[in-house]
Amino acid sequence: MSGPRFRGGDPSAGLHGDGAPAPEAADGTVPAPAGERQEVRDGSVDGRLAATVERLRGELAAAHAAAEGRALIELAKGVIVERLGCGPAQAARQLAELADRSGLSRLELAADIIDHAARDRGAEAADAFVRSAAGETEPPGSAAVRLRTAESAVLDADDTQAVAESLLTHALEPLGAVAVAIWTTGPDASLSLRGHAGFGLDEAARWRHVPPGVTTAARQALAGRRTVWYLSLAASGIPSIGGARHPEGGRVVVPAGTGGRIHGVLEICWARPLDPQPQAVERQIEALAELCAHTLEDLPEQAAPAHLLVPAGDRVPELVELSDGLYDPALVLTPHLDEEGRLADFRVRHANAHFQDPAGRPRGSVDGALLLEAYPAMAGEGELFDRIERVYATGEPFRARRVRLTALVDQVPLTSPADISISRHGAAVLLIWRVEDETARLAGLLQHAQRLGRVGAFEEDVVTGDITWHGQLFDFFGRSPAESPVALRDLAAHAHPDDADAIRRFLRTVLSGRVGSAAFRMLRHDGVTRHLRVTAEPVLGPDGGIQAVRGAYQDISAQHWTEVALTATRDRLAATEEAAEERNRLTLQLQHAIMPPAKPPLDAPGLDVGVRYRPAESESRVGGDWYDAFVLPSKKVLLCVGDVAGHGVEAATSMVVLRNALRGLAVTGAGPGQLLSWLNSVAHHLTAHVTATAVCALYDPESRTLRWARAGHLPPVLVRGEEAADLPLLRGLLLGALAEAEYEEDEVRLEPGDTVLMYTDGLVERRDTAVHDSVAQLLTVARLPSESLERRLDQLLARSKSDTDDDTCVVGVQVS
Amino acid sequence: MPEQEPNLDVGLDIRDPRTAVLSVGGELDMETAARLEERMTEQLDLGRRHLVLDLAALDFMDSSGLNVLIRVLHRARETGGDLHLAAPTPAVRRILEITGVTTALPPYEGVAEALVAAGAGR
Repeated sequence: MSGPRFRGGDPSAGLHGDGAPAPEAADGTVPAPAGERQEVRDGSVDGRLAATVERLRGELAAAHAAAEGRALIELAKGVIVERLGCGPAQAARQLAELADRSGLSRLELAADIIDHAARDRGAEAADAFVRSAAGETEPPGSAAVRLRTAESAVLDADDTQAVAESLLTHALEPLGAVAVAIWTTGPDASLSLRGHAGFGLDEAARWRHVPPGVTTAARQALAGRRTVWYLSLAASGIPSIGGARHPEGGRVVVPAGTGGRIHGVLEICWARPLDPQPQAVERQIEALAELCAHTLEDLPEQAAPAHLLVPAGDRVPELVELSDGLYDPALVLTPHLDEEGRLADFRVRHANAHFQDPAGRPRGSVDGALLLEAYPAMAGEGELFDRIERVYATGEPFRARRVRLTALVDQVPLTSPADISISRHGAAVLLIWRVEDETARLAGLLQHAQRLGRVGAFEEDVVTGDITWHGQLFDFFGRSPAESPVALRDLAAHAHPDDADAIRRFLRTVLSGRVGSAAFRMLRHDGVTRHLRVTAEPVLGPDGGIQAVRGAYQDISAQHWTEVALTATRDRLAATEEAAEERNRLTLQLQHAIMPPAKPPLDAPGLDVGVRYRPAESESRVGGDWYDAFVLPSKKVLLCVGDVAGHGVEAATSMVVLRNALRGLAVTGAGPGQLLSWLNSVAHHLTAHVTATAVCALYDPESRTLRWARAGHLPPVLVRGEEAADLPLLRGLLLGALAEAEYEEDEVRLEPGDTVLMYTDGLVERRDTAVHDSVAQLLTVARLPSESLERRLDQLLARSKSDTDDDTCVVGVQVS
Repeated sequence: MPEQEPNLDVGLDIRDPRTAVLSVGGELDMETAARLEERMTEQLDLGRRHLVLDLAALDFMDSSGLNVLIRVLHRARETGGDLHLAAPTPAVRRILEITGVTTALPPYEGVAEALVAAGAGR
């Protein structure tokens, strides 16, 4: 909305002359529903206001005589609804009760109430006016009075036609205007002429309805949600009412709205071309549009004022019901206004049954939230909030395919293309989206993995040759986003000549319909060499032919240099005598480079966290184990241990990818079962031929509950007092074995003093002992009393009976 | 740490042109996993798409061994065949349970049952 706001209800805040009229103008026995009585007044203004009141009384008599008093009563009810914040039925009862008590007829009382309301609004408006117009040439008093006179008339008028006539007479003719039109917007974004003056009946009849999509001057105000000035209508080339009679005349079209919703458009017509108008006039006209808006929203079919609809819009329950019947995620939104009645945000009134948060949070965390608080990224330029605001204002539905839906995950924008539908129903907005289904889950996931594991996805349409590059690919290739992406068939030209064969083999594999992969050295323009791995799969069309190739490049330079460094170290060590000792030291250095310091600083109230990593003794066996413990934005603590099958740099690299992926995924707020399910996809899709086991837990310090799941990993051990037991063997396949897997979750409520241990099988694995017995042995050690968590972890490692020379990780937490 | 002698025996029994039974004994671990993978891949390449793995004499299996089973399983399924596990010892069965493999790939009581499932001889 663009009009000035009428602020504050205290008439004494205004300049002198803006005060309310004398109480004696109203019946002294009537309790005013609201508004303070102001004793200090300026005589001349008082006189005019007294005249207005007198006129109102006269019109009351006329209305009475014509048995049209119902409109006045309705208006009064509206005032009571607004002032007392009650419903229309209660307002009617209140009116009847007040009338009884004061000994007035309901009609007389209604007139008094409206009189008060008119005075208050007039005072507010004049106050805002004079302040905003300060410094402008027009004497403040005259603008204020003109406005108030117009307002009284507007409030008094029982239909929009009367409003138009009264606006022209009282407010617009003094500005030199010759005609006025008041349009209302229909639910289909059509425009109906509800009131007019100065155009003539025939012209008005021709323009009584403007279907949606037809461009007129008034439509410009609606579509742009702002005031549009035409210094000469003919010059603009846009048709409008009265265009034939005053072709060269100036026009202004002003959206008339309240609380972010446009109810109609006020159109004012001049006979001659206009000069640019002083700011005071512009503001005055916007204030008039605001007055119109108040009368338009009080029209019978528009129900109560918009801001009263916020807590309980009539059609919200209906819409909630409807949204639950949709198979796509949908949100029912109602406007949320700030103190000054401006649209500040939307409240998520309902997240439907199929709602899936793009950021992966549970439905409950979005339901009831403010839209921008839940999705701050929507506020960005050209983003969704803008569109929702627009639909709410204009009623014109918005539908589009492949809109970028952005969710902030851990401050990182996560964007996925979605089909969007936004429509207004009563006072609510229905937002529906469909994220491209099969790929959607993976897309979000891949983006995380891309960010964390330096992977960039691509898709190449074999038929059209269109190439889409995501993420960091331009960066990988050292190209600016303005340049075109590199096609797969041109890839060899960008690679080291020695790798050309590998790339050709890879292309042959993919184009023969299979998944292919190749590692190559990318030679960039800027002389930088990067080691990339490309993995791709063909996308088959309905006829079985290859339609597109889709895949990802992964920057494996880091891995490559680790390998080079290791090889060099090995060669050097072969020449040294104290090779074994040196090797162990380097092994530790390697692990410490990959893993955080032994004890990451954790700000988890009421929880001690300890970690241990013991690398395998033989260098060639190092690499697959990991642990992690960190505090999530939700204040929950994520705990994890995992073990990638195999050893060496290959396993270590996969370990880093999985560990980082879990870190990224965990901030979505998903539970451990879901996290493992995603991690399974990462392992399956991104790291070729790798399986891993992991156990993942989320500790909630508030409820002291530990929610956990496992993927082919030994379950955690709970030590309580002198007892130690392993938690149940929940269902959960090791990571990377199948494309999709589900993970059972369980929850344990911890007590003060409880310790939970998570470990990799390096701690227990023995060739001559069944796992069951090794675990029993571990439980025996875990039962031993220990003065601190750190001690307990040392004890576990020291007494480990493992004989397989594997890496060993242990994470222990103790509730203090 | 004393070096472990690689200790894995693999026996082969061809049941029909598309079905092979491999009996493994000893320890399936990082040292020996590659050998089993070679033997199984060999059979797949010869067109024996259904592989039955007799685990009755296998005393120990670690994650590397398991990894081989999963890789071979994928390869077999890609060619329209399958991998069938039979008669795991309690220790190996426990590993399969812990890793969740028993739910994705339930082992059979014995080789005979696995062969029926593989549709051998048909």
